[in-house]
Amino acid sequence: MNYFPYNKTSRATLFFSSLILLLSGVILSAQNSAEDADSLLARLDANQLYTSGHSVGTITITDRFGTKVSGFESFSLGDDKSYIRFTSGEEKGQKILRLGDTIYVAYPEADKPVKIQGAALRDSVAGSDFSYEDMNGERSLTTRYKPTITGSEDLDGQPCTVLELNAKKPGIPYPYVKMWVSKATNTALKSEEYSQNKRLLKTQLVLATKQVGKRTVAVKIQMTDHLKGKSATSFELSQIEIDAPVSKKLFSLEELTW
Amino acid sequence: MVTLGRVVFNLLAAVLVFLAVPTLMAQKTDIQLSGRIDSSINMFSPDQSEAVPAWSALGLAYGRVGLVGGSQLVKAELRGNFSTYSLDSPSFGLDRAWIKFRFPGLRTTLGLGHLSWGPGYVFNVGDLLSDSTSLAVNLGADELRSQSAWLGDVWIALGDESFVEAMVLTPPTTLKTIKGTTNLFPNSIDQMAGGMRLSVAPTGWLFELAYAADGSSLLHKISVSTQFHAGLDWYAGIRADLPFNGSPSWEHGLSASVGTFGLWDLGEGFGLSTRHEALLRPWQNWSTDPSGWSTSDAPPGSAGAGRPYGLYSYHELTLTMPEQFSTSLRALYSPVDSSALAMARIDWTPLQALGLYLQASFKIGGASATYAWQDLGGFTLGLGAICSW
Repeated sequence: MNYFPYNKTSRATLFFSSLILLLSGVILSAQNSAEDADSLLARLDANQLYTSGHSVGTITITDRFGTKVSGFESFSLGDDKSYIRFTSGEEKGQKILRLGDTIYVAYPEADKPVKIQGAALRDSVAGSDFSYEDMNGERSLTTRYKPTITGSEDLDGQPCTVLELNAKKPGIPYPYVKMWVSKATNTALKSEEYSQNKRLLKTQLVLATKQVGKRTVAVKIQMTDHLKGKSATSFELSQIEIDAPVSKKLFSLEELTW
Repeated sequence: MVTLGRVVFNLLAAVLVFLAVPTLMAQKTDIQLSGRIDSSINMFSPDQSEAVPAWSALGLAYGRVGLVGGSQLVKAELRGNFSTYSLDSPSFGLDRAWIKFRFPGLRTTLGLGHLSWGPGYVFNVGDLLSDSTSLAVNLGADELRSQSAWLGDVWIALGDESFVEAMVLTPPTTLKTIKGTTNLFPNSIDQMAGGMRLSVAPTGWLFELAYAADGSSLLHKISVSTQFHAGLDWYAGIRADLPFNGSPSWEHGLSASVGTFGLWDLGEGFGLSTRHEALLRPWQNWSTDPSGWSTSDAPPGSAGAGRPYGLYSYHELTLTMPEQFSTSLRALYSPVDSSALAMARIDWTPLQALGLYLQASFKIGGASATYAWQDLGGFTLGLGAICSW
């Protein structure tokens, strides 16, 4: 029985869905900086959603204990399936599976996986500034947000269009997002994610991008959870494949608990 | 004392791991070492029935070291533990010694493995093949239920989130004296246990249907469990233990467990989690007066009058704070005799892999209660350190 049938026409995220959502505001590029906000957001969506993805990289977490680096490998299929396994560092052996709105985590010493639900979704993933909530929900920006272009600002010397995104419906983890999109490359370079009462929760900053086919993909990102304090997480991809074949068997409890 | 049983266990574990090595070497393997040591100094209140009650102090250490590794087709785990009350009486044991093979469509596990059927943290009636309803729980332990058994297991995936599992367990060894020598010996094959479970998770709800036949307690065991999220995480199970001989008092073997878990982000680095569980045995004792107990109240498979009461509960409250501090309250409560075992604890993680804690536990109840304050250790105070890697 397959509760989350794979739809070949569905769009997908790259990387594990978590990282994808992290990237959602920033791995994007647009073709025409003169477009209105809706068109710009639609193009950003078209760029960030994939049929399947595979990537290898590292997560570097800096906090009060110092810096720790963990390697990972991730896979995604369709819009609702993703799987990540940590391959080195303290988190080695830990696996995360997302099937639709359900997230399971398996630890190497535990005999059965933990289902992440409710408020536990706000827990940190592997001690990073990234939460399980960031992995969940819809991927599409146009489905979730109503955009407004609020002006132009320079970001590290690069002229940027500033977008404000307001959630269209309740239940979106970050009801308000502010995004800086480069006018030169039409790539979002920074995003700030806010709570309902406009409190800054997280900041994502793109440190490097790479051209993969027709897409511009962020391959190094720094994320800061402002509620954690004195911590930052950077993601760096060393290998990335988009729309490459990915085995469906990876996205199952059988694989997770192996 | 090195017993025959221990030697057999260790030999079997070594053989299992040895058999796995060639297969492991034939593929890309990945081996991981982990461990944990918990060392503490504790003070205990005296047994009030002693002629001259006196407080006592004790050093305690518990640790485990494990290796887990394998490839995409075979995995193995070897994990040992030690505990000691003093240098004179160290105790060593084996927690895990299993090998897991993967074939298309199914996988098998052989060896000393962990049993964890059904949902539940302290009370879990869905855990048919191990005792997850007893009150013998160390509230300060990181794993409240970590039973292991020698088992053979087949696991078949039925979909992304569904599976069926069948398992057989060898009976526990018993101490026997044969030809003047006392040792642990294997038990009769009649005392083996086995069962199977079906787990499905439609639309985020988890359902588990399980059956087991236990030759050592002469019981058929059937359970239905569920787990879902509705504001909080909820889980529950109901179980019937039916005697092999078809005793008419089968209803005395009915039990249920229910639990809920909640987690709240309080902001500014504070977080709160709560867990509440209850174990219900409707046909067990609801009075503290033993004269009201009858043998028919005894649970199926037990020898005489049933001591277990009809209701127990577990409660846990944990507050996490900035700067790696947390404080927690845990309590087992016996409402029938109005007694409780409570533990308050403060944890601090000053360095990565190092935790320090201060904990106090109390027994609250009269002399004949489940938790009597007059018993040895009615009040304990402990200061400890934990190192994990």
